[in-house]
Amino acid sequence: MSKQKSFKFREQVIEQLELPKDFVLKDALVTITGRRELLIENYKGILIYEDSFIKIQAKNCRIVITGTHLTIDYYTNEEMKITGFFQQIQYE
Amino acid sequence: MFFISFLKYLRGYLVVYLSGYAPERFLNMCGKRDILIWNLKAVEDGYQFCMSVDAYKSLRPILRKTKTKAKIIKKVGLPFYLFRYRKRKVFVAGMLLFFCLLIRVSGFVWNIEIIGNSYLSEDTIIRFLEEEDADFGTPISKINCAKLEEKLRSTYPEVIWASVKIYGTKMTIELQESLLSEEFYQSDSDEISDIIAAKDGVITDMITRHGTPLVSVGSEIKKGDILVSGELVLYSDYGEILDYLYESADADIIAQVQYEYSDKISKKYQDKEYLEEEKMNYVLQIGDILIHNPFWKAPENLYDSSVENMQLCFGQNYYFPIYLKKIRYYPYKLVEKEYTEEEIKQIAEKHYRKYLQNLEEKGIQIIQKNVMIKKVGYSYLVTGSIMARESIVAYQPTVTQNTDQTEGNIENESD
Repeated sequence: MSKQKSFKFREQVIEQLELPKDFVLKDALVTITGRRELLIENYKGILIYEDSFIKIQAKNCRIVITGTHLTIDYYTNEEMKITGFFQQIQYE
Repeated sequence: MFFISFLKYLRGYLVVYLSGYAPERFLNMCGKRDILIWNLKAVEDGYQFCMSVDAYKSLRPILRKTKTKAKIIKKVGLPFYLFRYRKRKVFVAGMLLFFCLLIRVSGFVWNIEIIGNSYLSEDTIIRFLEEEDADFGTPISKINCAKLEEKLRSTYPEVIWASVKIYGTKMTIELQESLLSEEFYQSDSDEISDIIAAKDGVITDMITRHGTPLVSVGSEIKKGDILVSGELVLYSDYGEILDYLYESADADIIAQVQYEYSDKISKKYQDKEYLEEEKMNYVLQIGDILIHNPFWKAPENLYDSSVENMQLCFGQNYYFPIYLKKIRYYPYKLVEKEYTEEEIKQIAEKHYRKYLQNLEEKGIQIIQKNVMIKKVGYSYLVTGSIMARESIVAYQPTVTQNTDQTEGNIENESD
C-alpha cells in the first residue's frame, strides 16, 4: 500500500469513528484573532524567528507568518501564542 | 491576566538576552523540556525573553549543546526588590508599626454624624451618647447599635424612629422626630390628669372635650389652679354621690395674660476696635495631645479667635483622631464709648421688638402693649406691660378618691 493510500485509509477510518482529527492525525490547529493574535497548537518547533518573519514546523507542513513587530507571547510544548501585525500566513 | 502577572511579580523573573550559533534550536529545546519562556522578542543578533529563576538555573546543558550564551539584563519581582532593600530594617519596622497602629485605631469611633434632628440639638444627643459610653473614642466592639436605638427612643419621646449605623470609624445616627407638641405626649400617657393653669390670667375662650370644667369664661385664675378636673362625679336622683369616674381632662383654654417687660441700657459701653493685623496659627491634635507651633507668639493685645477643625479621614468612613486646627486671631483694643439718646432709643426698640417676636413665635397673640423709657443716672430703664392671649394648658395627675370609702360615707349619711 502506498503512502498516499494509507493516509486516505486512515482518514476514512477516523471519519467513520468520529475521532478528533487534530488529535489523531497530529494536524496543527491555528486560531487567528483579527490580524494581531495567533495561537498554534500541535506544532513541533520554531525554525526561524525574526521581527518580521516566523517559520514554524508542524507535523506535515510548515507555517510561515510574515508581518511586523512579531513577538511570541509565550510558548510551551503544546502551544504558542504570537502577537504582532500580520501581513501573510502561508503553508509550505 | 492581571492576576497572572501579579503572581509572576511575586515569584520574580529574569529578562534574558540570548545570542550565539543556534538560538532557534535553543528555543525548541526549552519547549521540549517544559521550560516556560514568555515575551519572546527578536532583537539585534539574538533574542530577548523572560523566564523564571529556576528555569534559568537549568539552562546550562542546553546552552552548551546549542553553543549559545545567555545574559541576564534585568531582574524583576518582589524577591529582588526585598533583597535590594534588605538593610533598611527600621523602615520595615516603621511600616509594620504604622499598619499595626492603623488597625488598632480603626477599631474606635472617631466621627459622629447626626441626621434628621431638629428639636433635639446635636449637643443633647452627644451628651446622651456620653452617658451611654458610646461617644468619641469608644471601641466599636463595645457599641450595641440596636440597644442604643432603643435607648434613644425611650429616653426622648419625641424620637419616633432611630437608626444607629457604624461604617468604618464613623457612627451615623438617623432620627425621625414627631411633629406633635410635647402637650400631646403628656395627655397621651396612661396616667389620668387634670388641666391646671400654667400662668395667671383671665380666661377668654374655653372648649372642654373631656373632664369636669371648674372655671368658665371670664374667671380670674392663678398659676396652678385646676381648670378642668379628670374626675367625674356620678350623683343619684337624690343628689347622693354614687361613684367617681376618672378620665384624662382634655380642653383648649385661652386666657388673657400679662407680661412685664423691663430692660436696662447703660449709657456707657465698651466697644472693640479691631486692629488691622490678623494672625493665623496651626495646631496639630493627636488624640488628646496638642502639638503647638514652637515659633508661634500669641498677639499682645486682647483678641477674638476662631478655630477651624479638619479631621484626617480616608475615603468617606475612615476617620482618625488626628485633627489640624486652624486658629485665626483678631486682635482688638477696648474703647470706652457713650451712646447718644437717639442710639439708645434705637437699641431699646430693637430689644423690645425681639422680645415681642419671641412671644409671637411661641404662638402668643399680643393684644395691648405699653412701654416707657426712663433715665436713671447713667443708664436708661425701659419698662412696660404687654397684654396677650395664649393657651395656658398644663397637666397634673388627678388625685383619685377611693370609691369604697365614699360608699361608707353614704351609709353614714343615711344613718
